[in-house]
Amino acid sequence: MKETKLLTERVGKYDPLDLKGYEASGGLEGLNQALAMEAEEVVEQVRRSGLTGRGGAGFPTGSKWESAAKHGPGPKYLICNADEGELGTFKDRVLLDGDPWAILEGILIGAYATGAEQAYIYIKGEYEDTFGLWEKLIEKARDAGLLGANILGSEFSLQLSVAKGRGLYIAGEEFALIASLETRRAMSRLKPPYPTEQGLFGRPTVVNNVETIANVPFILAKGWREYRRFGLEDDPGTRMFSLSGDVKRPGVYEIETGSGTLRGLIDEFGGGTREGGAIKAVQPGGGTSAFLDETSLDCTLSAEGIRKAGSSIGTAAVIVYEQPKSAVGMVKKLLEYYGNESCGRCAPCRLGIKRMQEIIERVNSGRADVDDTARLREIGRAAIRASTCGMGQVFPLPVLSALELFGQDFEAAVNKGPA
Amino acid sequence: MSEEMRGFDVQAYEELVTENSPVTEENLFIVLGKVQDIFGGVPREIVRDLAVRTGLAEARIYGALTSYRDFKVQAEGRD
Amino acid sequence: MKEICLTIDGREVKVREGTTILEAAKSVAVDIPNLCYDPRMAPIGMCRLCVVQIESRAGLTTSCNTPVEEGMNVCTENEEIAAIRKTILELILSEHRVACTSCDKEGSCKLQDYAYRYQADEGRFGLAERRTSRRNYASNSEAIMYDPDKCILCGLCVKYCAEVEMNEALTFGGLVNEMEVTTAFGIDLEESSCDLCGGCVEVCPSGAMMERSAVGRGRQKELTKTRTTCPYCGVGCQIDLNVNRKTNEIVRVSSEVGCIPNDGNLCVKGKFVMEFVGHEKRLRTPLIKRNGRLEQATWEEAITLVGERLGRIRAEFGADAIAGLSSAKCTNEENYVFQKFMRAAVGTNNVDHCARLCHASTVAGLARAFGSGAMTNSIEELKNAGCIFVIGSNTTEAHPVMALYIKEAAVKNGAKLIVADPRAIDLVRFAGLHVAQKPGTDVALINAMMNVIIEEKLLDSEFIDARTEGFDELADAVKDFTPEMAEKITTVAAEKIREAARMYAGAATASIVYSMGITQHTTGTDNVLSLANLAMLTGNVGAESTGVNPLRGQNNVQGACDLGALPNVYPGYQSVEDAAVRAKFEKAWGKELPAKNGLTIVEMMHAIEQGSVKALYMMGENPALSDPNLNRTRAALEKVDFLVSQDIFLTESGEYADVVLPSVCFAEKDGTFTNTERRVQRVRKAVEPPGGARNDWEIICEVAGELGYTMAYEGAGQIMDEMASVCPIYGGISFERIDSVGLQWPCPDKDHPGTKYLHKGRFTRGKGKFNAVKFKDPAEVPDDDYPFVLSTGRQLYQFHTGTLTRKSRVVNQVSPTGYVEIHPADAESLEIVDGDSIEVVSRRGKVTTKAKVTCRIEKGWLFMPFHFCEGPANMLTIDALDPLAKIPEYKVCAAAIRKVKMTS
Ligand SMILES: Cc1cc2nc3c(=O)[nH]c(=O)nc-3n(C[C@H](O)[C@H](O)[C@H](O)COP(=O)(O)O)c2cc1C
Ligand code: SF4
Ligand code: SF4
Ligand code: SF4
Ligand code: SF4
Ligand code: FES
Repeated sequence: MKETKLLTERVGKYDPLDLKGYEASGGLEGLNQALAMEAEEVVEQVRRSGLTGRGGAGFPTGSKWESAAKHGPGPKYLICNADEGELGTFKDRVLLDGDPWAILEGILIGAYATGAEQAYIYIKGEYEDTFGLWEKLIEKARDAGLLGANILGSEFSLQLSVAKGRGLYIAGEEFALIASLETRRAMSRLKPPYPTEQGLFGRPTVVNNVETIANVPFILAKGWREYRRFGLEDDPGTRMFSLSGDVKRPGVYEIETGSGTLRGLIDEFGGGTREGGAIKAVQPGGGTSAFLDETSLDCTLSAEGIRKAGSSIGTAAVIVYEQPKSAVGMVKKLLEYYGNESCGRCAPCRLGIKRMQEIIERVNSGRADVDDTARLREIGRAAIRASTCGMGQVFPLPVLSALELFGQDFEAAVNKGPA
Repeated sequence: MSEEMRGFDVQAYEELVTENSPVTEENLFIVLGKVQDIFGGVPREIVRDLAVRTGLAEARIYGALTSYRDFKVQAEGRD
Repeated sequence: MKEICLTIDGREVKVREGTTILEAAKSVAVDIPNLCYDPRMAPIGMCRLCVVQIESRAGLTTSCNTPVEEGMNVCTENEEIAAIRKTILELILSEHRVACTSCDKEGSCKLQDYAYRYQADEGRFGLAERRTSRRNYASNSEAIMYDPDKCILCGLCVKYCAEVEMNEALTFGGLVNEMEVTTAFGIDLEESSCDLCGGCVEVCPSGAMMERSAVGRGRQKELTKTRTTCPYCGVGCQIDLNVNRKTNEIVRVSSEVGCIPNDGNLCVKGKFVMEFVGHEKRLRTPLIKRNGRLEQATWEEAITLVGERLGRIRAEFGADAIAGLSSAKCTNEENYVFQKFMRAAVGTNNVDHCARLCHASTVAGLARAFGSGAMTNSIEELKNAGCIFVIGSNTTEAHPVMALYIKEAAVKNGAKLIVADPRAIDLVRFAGLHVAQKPGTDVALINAMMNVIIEEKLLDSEFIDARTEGFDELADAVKDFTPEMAEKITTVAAEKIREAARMYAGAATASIVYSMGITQHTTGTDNVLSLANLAMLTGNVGAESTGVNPLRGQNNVQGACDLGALPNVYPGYQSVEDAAVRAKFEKAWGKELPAKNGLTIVEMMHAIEQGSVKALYMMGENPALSDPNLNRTRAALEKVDFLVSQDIFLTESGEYADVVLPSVCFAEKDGTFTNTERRVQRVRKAVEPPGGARNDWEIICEVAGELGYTMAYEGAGQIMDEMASVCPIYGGISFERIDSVGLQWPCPDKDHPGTKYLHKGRFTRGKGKFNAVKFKDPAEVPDDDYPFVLSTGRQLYQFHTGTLTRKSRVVNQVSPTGYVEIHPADAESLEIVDGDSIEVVSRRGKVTTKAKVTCRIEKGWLFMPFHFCEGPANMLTIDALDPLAKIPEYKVCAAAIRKVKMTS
């Protein structure tokens, strides 16, 4: 297996505040190409490139832009989602710090294509330095005529503001993120309408993940045909895998979709398990994706491949668990993180996540009763089936898949009794 | 600025507001973030002042702030 | 609108496009469980109980926010959905203190009902920690109680406050796992932007929010609901009195979503202020003044005495030496009986009531311009008006539920809202334009607007030609009256006047809304005529959402006028001077009737002064606090030979009376009120009256008997039937027809559906009449001695003379004392700070009250609410009258203020 550096090629190759350095390595070509086209053509390029969202949901980016672009006059917004909250995910930061001008260029192209005149980049609160870097970067960009009125002498104008996340995972969910920028509680809401119809301040809004946006300059610079030479027909391009957990070499690896297997990623790039033991389980798409056990690791690294194996690619954050970990402990850790992260809108999510956490703690400490696994399944079903956003619909997946794959761990814990 | 705004650096706040003028719904979240970063919390007087400036209800701003782990609201000016 | 056909649980359903699945199911009696749905607000989607399965859709769908689609096939419950609902309920119960044993909500708790329906096990997921003991935003409220342990975080209260009441006093606060309902910084509710409408309590599906005063006084399942009409303002909200039959107490007031005209919305008064009903100070026996003191007496003694004294005065001085004040608080039936009593039993037209003090100029002005003096449109129509021009009406405080429709129009339906008011009243928050005209300069403002409209050819010539007369005189009168001239008089910038004119004239449908700020002037009738001119000039009258809408103050001021409690007309505005009309009434009442107009309220007082009126019979009126120039009024009450006060309390006026007769209040009687949109609505008996208090009409009938005229009825329904027979606009109305929804007059016969808006196609008087009016100064303008313009008016929490409201703990908590509003600059120059005790002085008297320093008012102007007997604003007001309507100029007089030096 090998890395294909479509997005990460420039990372670390130039001083991140140095626009010249960026331009010297081929930067701004995409923007220049875009500004020479009609906005619709730009949307068309992205649509034909087959690019899908890298923030977790995998929605086709071109369609999203198209639906925001088709709205007539009046303000529109573009938001670059740099909240990167999903457990095990740290790829966006690599780009934000290592090749920020490319993200800026992507934002500019996106705003031009959709008709937004105000954009926001919403950066995870813990990324203090990144936030500082972007504040400076925006000033530099303004000085260089890349932000403000008549960008690069064109008719196109854009303001970009940088907002800092305030310590909530759920604020990365697009509606909660919008609410956040509107100075509301970080709460998701019912859909439809979708953000591209009624988003920020009730106006059409595009929300895109950092990595998604990072693909855009290439597509515009080289054309969609060139882009589609990478990766699979129905899932083109590359994915930036964040590899973590019990591996020797955690890190971010950019791989063409379909060009390897999960096992290959763990063994060849990750150097195998940390202690050299057998793999107990893997979460291939971040902390809210379903567990795969050792038998499913030969699936291809693509959305479809991982789905077939029984999980989802999510944010492409691969978390490895080594034997002899107990599934109960693994699940407990996850719920400790997600247990306070419901936005509070949906009763089954808000209450289910907490009750699940309590039950798992009971199981873990040997105080569970025979009904507790049934309770977990009941909560799981209610939350998955009756919640409104991706949070409630997925947080039970690791728990339910663990019950499925590692039922004996739960039985053992229940039978053990309190210490 | 009202007399009630005691207990924190009023001048720093005024500068912040001038820098981000006009404060509207569009940049309020960002301004509040800066208030938090400068003062270590968001005093009630500032919420009230920003509510007047933006025309948003105090309850709305308060409710929003308290939903984030990293915002701290302060009932009285910082002591 | 398009019809959509779909299938719900195997049944074909047809509904309007845009209907949600939940509503569609409801229409065929399929009850999809829901804990966070209310048709008045955008869907919240919190409870997730309403999920359904739609054929060919992968997931489940919430039915509360999903509109129906053609051919949709919906299954509202299957095994999986039922199981999910059960789990969700069990999860909700895990954080809900299940205390049904001691909960007031039992009997109307949706949570309990669903838990039962799905057999949810409250202990399935354990029980969470309690937090009830902590102080919360409502801990100190007299009105509302909040128990976070019963709160299921459905969000309805927060949403109601933001979207319907538009106050945003409430929010969710805290991180997700500590979330609860709160105000900003948890401040006391009464300190927040809350106006105590009680809507949050009403929408709460659990027992988390309750009326504090209801707690422990009867669980919902033990209460009986009686539908009746609110006794306060002219909106006429339909309320349900929830009565504990065992204690004969009104435990709470509720209102049903969907009811007309208020759609379940109420204001603080209708919702919380009912303590007066069973109050200990209620009169229980008649009182007779002996040796200067009022002493208890029997009914027989009292009635005999009244009969005797009135009889003697009539014999000695003639019937016109007797005058009667009827009441806008009493029912239509009582007003009818009272005026009949004065005219037929006593033999005089000296009957009037407080409409004189609020809307006589409306009646006079609109009758001249259009032919009838009432609100032309329905309340609900305001919602869809393209432009609303509110002038001289502090709607959010005086007619709060009406204001909801105006706010909805402006905020949700994109209406242009123009507010013309000297003060920055609450509605200004929603207005596209605020015009702060100097008090008493309305004619100047409106004339200038018309000048612009004619100048810029924004007028509706077609309408003017076809439907009006007198246009040329009007055009002449306003031709030279430019906005620049008006600016000098009104202080409003000329450009703003132009903008207002363009906004109003440019809308497809435009409604004028006005109230006492227009009418209570010596130029009150002129003001009203000007508004009528403005409407006709632009063709804005006689269509849906388009017209001239006076908001009547008291609950039944419309009805009291309709039923002839006026000195110049019989019921139905039929002139007493018209011989044919008089003949009709003489025949109906079997008595010869006086032919000349009687005296109006203020004229009565003056006649007492001069000695020509010797006896005054007051039914539910309190002139000692409500009339202008109180010193003079009180002297008159003191002077009159014989004074009867028939009331539910011993009022300030009652203190002067020779005989006091205890009557029953609205909650203890049957009858009807007519609201400001001409809707005749039922009043129903819900509780037993205290002691020996009697129906007003029964008392009057007995006194009539003493005077040798027989009046006898079996009940209010029979009076209504008699009213219908002599009053054509009420001709088709009967108790049966208005059992569930009131009818709007004119309703001439049994098959007539009532009239939604007036003057469609034709004005009542045939052609609409333009009346050119010229601006005149108010009777008293500021000078060196009295440099301020003083205006008086209403305040949300109080009603009229405070007889009813000031007995309420809820009201006393938020509105304990009177005050005078003063601009900060004026305050500063007089060294007055907020809360100072200050003396307000006019040529007629002085009162001491508190200063309220506020930017709501302009420099040089003062505002005082008139409800407070310890600082009665009407000590100061002038009793100069409008020459036509005889309404006093409450809104403008000259005054001075000074700080009271504190001794001690
Ligand atoms: C609970 C939750 C948290 C999320 N957090 C993030 C995040 O931190 N960053 C992100 O890009 N997308 C996040 N998303 C996905 C966003 O809602 C949204 O789909 C995404 O930003 C769209 O961008 P894309 O189309 O480019 O992927 C989250 C979704 C959910 C349900
Ligand atoms: S699923 Fe959870 S996070 Fe998403 S909207 Fe519902 S409560 Fe909020
Ligand atoms: S009483 Fe009315 S205004 Fe007050 S909080 Fe409740 S809904 Fe809001
Ligand atoms: S107080 Fe009542 S209405 Fe408000 S959120 Fe709680 S349960 Fe819902
Ligand atoms: S708006 Fe008027 S009628 Fe309605 S509840 Fe309030 S006082 Fe009563
Ligand atoms: S009623 Fe639909 S989610 Fe509560």
